[in-house]
Amino acid sequence: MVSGMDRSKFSEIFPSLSGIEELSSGGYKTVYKAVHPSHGDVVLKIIKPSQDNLELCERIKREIRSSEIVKSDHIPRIFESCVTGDDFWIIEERIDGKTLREVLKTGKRFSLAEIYSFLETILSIIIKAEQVKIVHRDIKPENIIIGTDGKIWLIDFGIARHLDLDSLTNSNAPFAPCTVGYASAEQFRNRKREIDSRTDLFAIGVVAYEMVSGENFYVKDVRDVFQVIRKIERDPLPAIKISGDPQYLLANFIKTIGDNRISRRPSSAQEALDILRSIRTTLSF
Amino acid sequence: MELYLQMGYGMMEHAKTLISSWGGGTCILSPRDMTVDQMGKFSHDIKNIGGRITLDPQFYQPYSDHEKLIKHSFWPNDFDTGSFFSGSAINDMIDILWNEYNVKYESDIFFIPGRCSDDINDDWKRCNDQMIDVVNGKNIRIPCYASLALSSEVVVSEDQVHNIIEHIEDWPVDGFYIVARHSKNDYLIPDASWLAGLIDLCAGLKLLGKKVIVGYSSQQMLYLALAKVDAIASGTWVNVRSFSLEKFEQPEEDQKKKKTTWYYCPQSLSEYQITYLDLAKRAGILDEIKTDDSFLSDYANILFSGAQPTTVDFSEREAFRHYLHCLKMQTEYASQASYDDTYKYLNMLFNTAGQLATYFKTKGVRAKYRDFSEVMDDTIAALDLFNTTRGMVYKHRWNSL
Repeated sequence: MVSGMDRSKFSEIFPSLSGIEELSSGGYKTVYKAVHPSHGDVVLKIIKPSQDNLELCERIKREIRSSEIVKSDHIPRIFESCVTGDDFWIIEERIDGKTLREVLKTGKRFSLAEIYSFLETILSIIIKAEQVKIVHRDIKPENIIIGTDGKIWLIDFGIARHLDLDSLTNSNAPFAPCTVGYASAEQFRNRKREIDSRTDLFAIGVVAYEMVSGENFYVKDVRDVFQVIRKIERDPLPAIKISGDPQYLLANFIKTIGDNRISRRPSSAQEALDILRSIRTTLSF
Repeated sequence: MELYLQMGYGMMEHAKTLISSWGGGTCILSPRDMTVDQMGKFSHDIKNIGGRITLDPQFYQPYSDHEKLIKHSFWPNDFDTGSFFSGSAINDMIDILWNEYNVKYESDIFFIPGRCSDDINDDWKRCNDQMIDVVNGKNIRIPCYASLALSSEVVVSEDQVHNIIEHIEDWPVDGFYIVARHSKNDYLIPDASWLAGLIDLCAGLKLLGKKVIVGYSSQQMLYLALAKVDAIASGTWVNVRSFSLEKFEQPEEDQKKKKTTWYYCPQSLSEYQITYLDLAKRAGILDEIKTDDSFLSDYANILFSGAQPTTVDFSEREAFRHYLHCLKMQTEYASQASYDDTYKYLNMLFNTAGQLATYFKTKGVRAKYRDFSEVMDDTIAALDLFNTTRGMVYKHRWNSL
């Protein structure tokens, strides 16, 4: 049994891993970094689902499944996993870089080119997810890694919604799993019927706004989560001035994909990407 | 965008003449103003001249006591919200509407009855869902459009508008027939918020791939071309050019009292009583009020023949036909090849119309409550807001809408 294991058993269970060091621990999982002879730097996630938490077990299985079927080079590969009985662990590609949150905390202001590139990449990832009917539902700076080479990665499909599978969230629950401040109204209000990739577009819009301004529009100047929720339901994301965007088209694009009303967002990530590319020539990189 | 004819009091001959001269067109039958037999004969005549027919059940107020309306066999004898929606009454109503009206008249579109609401709440959703379910269970072989009859409170509320859009997403209908009321029952609507709400609603429905017809429209509704609305419907008297619930409460023939004849000046989107055309002649601007030849409307030529306008034989008949003919031309022209072209065109149309109406006013030629310059700013503001909130997606989707 791995979940309750002590470190001394690692070499027995993971004979191919070396240099195992704890990176973080919290909630239901502990994350280690390690080296694999053929995969190189990897992350080992040991998950500790409680006996009665079937939902958590199912979410973990779906997270693994998401990473396997969303065919994107911008999602860390899962090399090995075990989700049987009490053994829950994942060995996945380790990304050398910083989360977008860490970068934002340094006070960095992103250039037009960086914002455009971010949007193009993240939309391409969501298109891949869209093709296999998966909605990430937790796009936020903590789940975006900027590699040391500048490559953008999207991680953590832990609360992804598989539109082809039964929802794991109780339909009567007043709020669905989400990160307040990045989740759209239809997501936190648990309006399942409306959830699709437009939900991810909202979060991308909010993140892009934050990359330009340095702050989350919905979180700034509010006292608690209920105020954030009210603000999301009440106020559309404003258009923000971006240097090199003289016609405010990129600003309007960010506003459009991050519109608090789902029907005003593009109907799909593909449509959003098409629109983004159509305004490229108006931007001064 | 097309112009449909909203049938009302005394409109049958106008409709036949216009449809005949246009070589086609669609009429929306009005049970309030027409008996079963009248509608049968009229539909037959319209079909024979290449026209299309649809019937608005006008079920806006189930408790209506409008004598002519409630005489129709589809109207429930007793409307009790609970029993109507849970029993067989709704089923009977749809059966009669389909078999005894729409089949008989060879309707081209089936309008599903819809109650007017000033709140999009659970009751509204349940009642409409039920109505849609019943229709969906029938073998109706023509496109079905749901009626959305909305109060001003709903239209100006962004929450309520989006509540509708989000709720109806899965309704198995081909389109929507919208009638929207303004709180002051204005003819031209001096309310940017109301205009913005209506076009936002239309856009939300269009983006779902549905057809959208907006009934009871005046020339101001040309702005809906920016949302690529499929048709607006208009008619003769002002009570078929703007939606009011009172129309379905009052005794009929209310229009008979209003005998004033108005001339529609398409370039100013305003209408003038003939006495004001006399003033225009004296002020030397009559020629500027004249309809351009490109509209191909001869109905009003006599007003500009050189004689004093009030002395010539320009009756209601010519006035109505002139209005509807010009509006048809404007409606068709309002939707341009691209979103950007349409946005620019409508801005120019409204700006020019407002400036002209203002100019005429400075010469003493006033359009009173039919003066477009009074609503120009509101109309353009609604267009600009639309461009900000939906422009990007619309520009991309224009050709597929």
